[in-house]
Formats: sequence, C-alpha cells, structure tokens
Amino acid sequence: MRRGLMGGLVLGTALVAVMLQTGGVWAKDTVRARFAEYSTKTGPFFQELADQFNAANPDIEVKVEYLPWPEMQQQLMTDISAGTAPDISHMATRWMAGFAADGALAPIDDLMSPGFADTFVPTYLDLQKQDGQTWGLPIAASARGLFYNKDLFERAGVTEIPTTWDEAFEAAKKISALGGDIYGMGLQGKDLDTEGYWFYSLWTHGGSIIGPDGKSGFASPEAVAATENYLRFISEGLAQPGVTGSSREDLQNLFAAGKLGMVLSGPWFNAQLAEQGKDVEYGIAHIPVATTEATYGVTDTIAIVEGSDVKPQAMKFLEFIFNEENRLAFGKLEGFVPVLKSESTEPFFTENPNMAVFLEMGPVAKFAPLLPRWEEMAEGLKSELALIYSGEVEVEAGLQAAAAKMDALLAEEQ
Amino acid sequence: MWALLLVAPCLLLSISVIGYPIFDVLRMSLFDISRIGVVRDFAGLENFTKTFADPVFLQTAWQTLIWTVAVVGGTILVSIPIALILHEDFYGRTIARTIVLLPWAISLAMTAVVWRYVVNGDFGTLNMTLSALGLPVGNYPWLADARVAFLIEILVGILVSVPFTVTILLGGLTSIPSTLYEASAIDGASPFNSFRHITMPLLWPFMQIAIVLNVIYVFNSFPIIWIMTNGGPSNRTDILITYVYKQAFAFGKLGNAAAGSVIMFAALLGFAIIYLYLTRSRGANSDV
Repeated sequence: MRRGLMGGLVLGTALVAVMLQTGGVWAKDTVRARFAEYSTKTGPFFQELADQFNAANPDIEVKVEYLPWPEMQQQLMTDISAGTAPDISHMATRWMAGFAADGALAPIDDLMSPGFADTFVPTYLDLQKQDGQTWGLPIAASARGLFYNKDLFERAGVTEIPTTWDEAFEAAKKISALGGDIYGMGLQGKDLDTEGYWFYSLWTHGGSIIGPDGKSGFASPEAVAATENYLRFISEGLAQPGVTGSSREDLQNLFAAGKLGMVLSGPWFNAQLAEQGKDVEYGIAHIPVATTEATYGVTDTIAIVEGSDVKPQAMKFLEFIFNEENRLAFGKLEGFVPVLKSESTEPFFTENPNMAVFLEMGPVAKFAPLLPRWEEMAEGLKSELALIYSGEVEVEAGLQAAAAKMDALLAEEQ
Repeated sequence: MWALLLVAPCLLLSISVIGYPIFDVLRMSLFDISRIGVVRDFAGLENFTKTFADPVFLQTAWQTLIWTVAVVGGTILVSIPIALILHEDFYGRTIARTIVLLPWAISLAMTAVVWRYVVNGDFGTLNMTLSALGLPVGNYPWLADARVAFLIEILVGILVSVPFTVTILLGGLTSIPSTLYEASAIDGASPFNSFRHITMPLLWPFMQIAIVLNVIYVFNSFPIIWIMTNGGPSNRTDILITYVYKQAFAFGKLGNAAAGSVIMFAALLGFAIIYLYLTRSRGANSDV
C-alpha cells in the first residue's frame, strides 16, 4: 500500500514535470525578466508592469526579479555559465559588448515588430548595435552636467556660471577661500566611473578614447592637457582632500552636505538631492569646456539571453515596457533622459530646468567604446589616474602606461 | 568491511561535494574559457604563464604575504595577553569575556562597512574624535593613501580575528593543571619564569592551531578589503582573493581567475602540509 502510494507520487510528479517542460495545453510560457535597481522603486515598478502585462496576455507569464547593480554582472555571468540565466536581463551597455561577442545574447532585429525600432532616439539605439546586429534596447540613458551650489557661489561672489575650465578654476578658488571644509570642485579618484570623471576633461579638451590611428588616445597631448587641468585643482587645494579616496557617492554626499561648490554628475543626482540635500540650492549647467563641448553619455541595456526558449514572448514584454506611456512613467520615476522620440517633447523633461540641461547636452554626448575588454582597459586607466592624482607619477608617464596597457589589450583582441 | 560499506554513501557524497569544485577549478585553469564560462580549447599552462606575467599579480601576491603575516602575527600578539587576563579570576570576568567575543558575532561585511564610515575623511567619527582631542587632522582622508589604508585594513583584520584566537587560547590555558604553578611557586619561580617555562610550552600546541586556522581564514578573507578600498588606490591594497574576483567577474577572464585560485590553493596546501609535518614530528618526540 505504502509503496504503491509512493510510486504514484513519483509518477505523478514526473508527469507534471514533463507537462511543464513540453508545455501542456494549460501551461503558460514563463518569461523571467531580471532588472537592476536604480532605486528602491525600480523593482516594484517593473513588477507592476508585469502584472498588467500578465493580465492582458493570458498565455504568457512574466516573472520579475530584481538585484542591486553591484551584483548584476557577477550574477549574470554565473547564471549564463550554469544555464540558469533569466530570459531577459538588464546590464550596463559596456558589458553588453563582451556578452554579445561571446554569444550569450540574442540579436533582436528579427524579433522586433515593424516600426518599433523607429520609435527610439537613434543615438541611443545605435549604441546597442554591434557587428550589424541590435543586441538590446536602451533602458536608461543619461548625460552628465555641472551641478553647482548657488549659495556658495553667492557667498564667494561668483556671479557667472562657469562655461570654461578656466572660469571653473577661478570660481573654485573663490569658493575654497571661504574656508571651513568647503571646496570649490569635487574630483573623483575611486571606484565606479572614475574613468568617466576623467573623460569629461578629456573630451572637452578635444581628446578621444581611441585615436584616429585606432590606438589608445589616453596619452595624446589633449589627454595630458585634460589631466593637468584636474591636477591644478588638486595642487592648489581647490578639490576635496584625498581625491584618490573619493568615490562618486562620496562626492555626492559632500555636495549634498553643502561642502562642494561644483561637482559633475548625472540626472539621478537630482533625486538624491531632493531627499538628502533639501537645504542645498543648486543649479545645473553644461560641463565646462576647454576647446570642445562634450558630455559623457551612458546607456544601460536590456537584452534577451541567447539561451532563452521564449524569445518572441520576451520581446513582446520588452515592447510593452517601451511603449510610450510606460517608458515615460519610468523616465519620470528614475529621472533618466528620454530614449523615445515621443518623450523628448514631454513637458516633464523640457520645462524642468534640472532635466532640460541634460536634454540640451544630448547632441554632444560621447560614449565609452563598445569593446569586449573595455572594463580591463578602464581599470588600467583608473589605476594610473590614482597614481597621478596622488602625485606619485608624472602625468605623461602615467598616461603612457595606461595607453600601453590599452594598446596591448586591443592587440590581443584581434 | 561491513563498516566501510555503511559509510560509503557518506564518503561518496563528501568526495563529490568537496572534490568536484576543486577538480572543476583545476580543469578551468588548464582551458581557454570564455567570459560566460564556455570551455573552449585546451590551453596547457597558458593561464598560469599569463598570470605570472601580470605585474599586478606579483604585487598582489606580495601584499597577500604582508597582509597574512601582519594580521595573524598581530592577532596572536594581541590575543595572548587578553587570554591571560581573561583566564584570571576577577570581578566581571564574564562580561569582559562577552565583550571580547562580540566582534565575532558581527558579520565581517558589516564590520568593514562600519569601519569604512569611521575612517571617512569628511563625515567619519575618527576625524571628529581626533579633532575634538585637539589634533590637527582636519578632513584627513584615511583611505586615500594606499599605505595608510592597508594599515587600517590590517588593524580591522586583527580586530575581527582576536575573538576566535582568544577562545582557542583560553581553552588551552584551562587545560594547564594548576598544580604545575603551585609546584613552581614552591620552588620559588617568579611569575615571568612560570609564564616562560610552563604557560608558553603548554600553550604552544593551541597557538599552532590558532596560527594555522587564522592563516587560512585571513589569506582568503575578502570582505574587509573589498568593502573598504576595493583593492585601490592603484591595486595597492589588493590581495590574491580580490585579484581573482576582479579577473573573473569584472574582466571576464575565468581562465586566469581559475589559475589564480589554483595558485592560492597550492600555497595553502603547502602551508597545511608543512604544519602537519611539524606537528607530527612534535607528537613523535613527546611520545618518546
């Protein structure tokens, strides 16, 4: 009796498993979608969208997962190699290059419905392309600007908002002269995006990450000038002390505490200031220029994983996320630059001066190159920048070392 | 024979659970692996030669040695007097023992997060305290200088290793019969002499255990360094485990990461063999 019961249970379980595998008549296609958190609101927002989508599509069930950003890359790598990856995954666009090159992602050109690709701002969708294929959709896009503390500007007697680096330097001098733990300019030397902070200066001095000869532009004369531009802030004591110990969060905290005159950051910083820096009266201007107007643009990608068995269903959900209404709601929630053409004219973005500046700078935005080994090149640069900022290595020697490392990696790639 | 049959399932499970990951890492270190874990061609020792050719690896290996020796050595030096004091019978000893053990109950990651805030230049309590004492530290950014940052990380490492070590040493002290001290006191030995000739030799086996286990924990200890400095500035606070992590999960070089892991495994295995050899010969001597 007992044995019979056990046998029945085992058989029953096996049957259910088989039916789930092959998709019985009543089974739904399950789509696992993994998102990274920009804030605590990100996960619930997508969960809500999935609920709506599931209600409208009885044959598909989208399951939402969400993780903090720092864990995304490791988790995705581990999952793909173990065959347990979700069907849809969020990632930084710069990781996408490597994943696409290694065959981990599905090209989506043939999955998209006609006309869908045309709803995007071309700059941002083009970034998701490589080797003639589109590998994902730009879920978030941001440009960067100069945040300045109006109160400190006034107290220091700076009336003009700096438009050039020299003006920024003079303004920083006056602000630092106020004393009392107040510094003119925040400079980043540690952790995520340290290289990006240097790109602001590189690009506005007319430099580029990859030179016209296809080799690293890290040691070009423009790059040297860009680095010396930052060094003068450090050597004159106009930047916060310990640049090599300051991460993006450290700078943002300092600015939110009213201790920094200027810092370069992106639209997400508005949200942090609204919460933590209520007393800080600030404005946002274009990145100061030396020779060329530029800003750092970054997109994040949401892609379909190659191993997925439900690619068309996954694409259907992505198109739902990126419909005009939902994408606008997401942009408003997290404060990102519009990626759909239709959003660009939304009053939320055009009438709010703290958002409009990022829209204005869109046309001059530059991006990190899509190279599979970019992370390693950036790490080499970061490491040398820390030595340069702390005064242990001469500018040119340090930049040449970073360029040599990048060139070696570029050569290995081919 | 029958007994062997009974333990066989357990043995098999243990071998597969412990052995498989080791086998897999060894295999990965010998192949060309894509960033998504696809095993491509056999690469021979290429991953190893690449790893040894990386100046950051060599620098990191040296730092790992400093880190391990400094943290374990510091821990033992700090733990001996603490264990001796806690072994004495005094009023409030239970409370004192609890306080010493408390850091053990807090996760390493949280300890590291707390200390990162303590030494923060602008908002940290360390600078506030020092300034309140009238020292001219200002907003000194403790983690911006690699040497200072590494020193702070070593001190935090010692702090979190002390409770475990003190526990082992206290166990050792309890096992020393008090009659030995009474006899030596009758013979007129000074407290220092009885410490040197009774306590230290009898405590030595326990210290060996403490040293070996600490070396293994500290050598592989990831959270303190990762959370406080991420190995920076300029890789000068990286140790092998953070190096391997970066190779695997930031750069997608799983083959190199596997080679690094194998090298670490070999180093610890070598250390364990030396330890076994030393303790075995000691055991033989004491039998004689």
